[in-house]
Amino acid sequence: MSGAPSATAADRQQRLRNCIRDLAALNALPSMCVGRSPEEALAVVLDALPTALDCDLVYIVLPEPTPREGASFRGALLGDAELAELRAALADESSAQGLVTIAWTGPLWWVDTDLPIGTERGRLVVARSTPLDAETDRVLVRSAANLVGTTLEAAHVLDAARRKDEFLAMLGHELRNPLAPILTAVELLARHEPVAREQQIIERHTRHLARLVDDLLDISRVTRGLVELRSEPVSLASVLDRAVEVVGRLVTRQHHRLRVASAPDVTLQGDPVRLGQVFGNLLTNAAKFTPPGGTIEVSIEKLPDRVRIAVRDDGRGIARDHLARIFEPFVQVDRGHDAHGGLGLGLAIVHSLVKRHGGTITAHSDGPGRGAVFTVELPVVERQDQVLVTPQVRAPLVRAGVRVLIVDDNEDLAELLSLALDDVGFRTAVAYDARNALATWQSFGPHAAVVDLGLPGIDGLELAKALRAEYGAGPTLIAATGYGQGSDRQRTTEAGFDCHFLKPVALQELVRALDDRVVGRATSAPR
Amino acid sequence: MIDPFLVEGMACGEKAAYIVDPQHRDEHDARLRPSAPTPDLLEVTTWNDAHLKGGSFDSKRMMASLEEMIHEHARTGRPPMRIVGQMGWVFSEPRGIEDLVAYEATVNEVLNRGKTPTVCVYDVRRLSGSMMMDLLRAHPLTVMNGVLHENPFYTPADELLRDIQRRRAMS
Repeated sequence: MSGAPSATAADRQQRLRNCIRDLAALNALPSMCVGRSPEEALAVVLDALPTALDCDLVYIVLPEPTPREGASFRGALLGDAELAELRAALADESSAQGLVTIAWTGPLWWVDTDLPIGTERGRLVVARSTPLDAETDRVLVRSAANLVGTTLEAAHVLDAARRKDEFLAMLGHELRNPLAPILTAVELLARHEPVAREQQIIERHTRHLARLVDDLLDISRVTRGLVELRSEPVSLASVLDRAVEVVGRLVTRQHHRLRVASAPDVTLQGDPVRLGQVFGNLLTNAAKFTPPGGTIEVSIEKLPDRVRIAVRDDGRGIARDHLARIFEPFVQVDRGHDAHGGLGLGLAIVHSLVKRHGGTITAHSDGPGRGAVFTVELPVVERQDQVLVTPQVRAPLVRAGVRVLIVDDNEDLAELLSLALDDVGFRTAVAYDARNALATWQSFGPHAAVVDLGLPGIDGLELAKALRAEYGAGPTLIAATGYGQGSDRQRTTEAGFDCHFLKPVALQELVRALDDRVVGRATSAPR
Repeated sequence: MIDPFLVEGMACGEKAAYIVDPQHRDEHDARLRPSAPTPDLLEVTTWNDAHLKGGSFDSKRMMASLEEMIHEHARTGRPPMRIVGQMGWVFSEPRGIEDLVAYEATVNEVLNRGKTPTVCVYDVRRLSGSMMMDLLRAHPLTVMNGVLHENPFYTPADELLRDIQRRRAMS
């Protein structure tokens, strides 16, 4: 038989072409689940598919672990009651197609297929108010099932990743709380000679634990885009000095030779602390993964508009298949029986920080046992008439007579901080909540207060406001908290705090802040 | 991607018309103004004064004012203008939004006649599924993730309009 296909056949072909075109269009769009929760991704799919498949109803059933279903009929998502009716009408899964009639849909010819979600199976049902073409519609629904399955699975994966990041942030924050008093006690003990070997061990491992927690918090902030960087001119020399200071003790303990080229007069634009962290991490890794007595070299090359800094060691080296993933979070190279455990986050943090500073970082190794070199390139800026921060020699300060109130509901931490500040010459009192603090203020008349923000009842922010209202701008108020984002600092400034310290508060920095702001100004009690 | 498109046009003497969110109008103007060889080559206006004039979306009015803008510009004898429209206003669901896809489908003719390259900027993450499909079908070219594509899913206006009318009749 010859001649043109019948109108019906031509219509079918056109419909098939249009639907395949539209499904392909959906597939070509950037992932429909980016920025959407799994529930929202399901709604988008239910909204898009009727157009793509030229049908009246789409019904999706998702499998464990969170069984979910949804349906749309002529452009509207179905509510619970209608879904229940639909579910009952389509309950018989023994056939892949059929006809149902529901009061509010009229007759619907349906076809269904398995919906692959990872290793599980859901169900996709597509229905029209006109008879289906079995072959065409089965092809279309199977094509749609793959697209839908991929989209919804991706939404679940992204959601799980987001919840994991939030959990890590919470975990890091909670771990900081018990660490704070331990570190303070360790610093206090270290002031008294001789320092017992057990003390040294406690200090070393506590600081290691604190670094792990910092890394955990850092990577969760990095992945959530929450790291705020300062931007100021900073000399490369000061960045490298800071990094060498960080790794100094480890290098000495491992009997390494550390050679750092003289830094040319180069100015970077960025966050001095974070840039120091970059090279501190690289040097620490080099020291950790080089057997005792090894050599670590830092070379510097000035390029036209950039500077290249290479950190090279003759240590354990890195296998080629690890190199490709070395900057991903939680990737750890085989470290054998290395005692310097970590979470595999340092290089991921370094990579992110370098990138945020407009730079690049690469890793190279000739293989296991043949050392490694990490090369960072950063843009340089013209050094203008900026005064770069240099350390100043301080004259001895008189702290006697300076009264500091410590307010923290963590009694151990409050007492340890009190002992530590007493030890360096301040006079302290402690209060464990805001009411107590206000009462003690009257009798003790402090010149300064270190206030935990997370107090029970009246919190630290409210306490600061109350103190400012009562005593004006005179006293120095220092906030101590686990939250250090820009918005957190703004809140403490608005409440009347003069400083904002992240817990665990570094004793040296706290003492420096008190020296700068209070010592010398204190004459009589601001009662 | 948007800025280089407009800046390149201005460098060739083509007027740039940029329709933006009222909250960021001054910011866009300040950023692009230094690249305008002469002040009249850059016009930054807000969607309240363009798409939503009068407080609602009127596709006929918008089409007419676009056509007038293109004709007026053509009378100056200058090269054709370039237009970029930020479309974030659609998410406030103003009155008349139901005519958006039909407008997008038919405005191509006006722009083609005036040889006026025009970019409509949508945040795909915020679009509903059906709107995403329809908008995709209404544009002959697409830019996704920074790459310009000839859109194989483009549906000619009359076919798209028939589709929309059929769906409306059924719902």
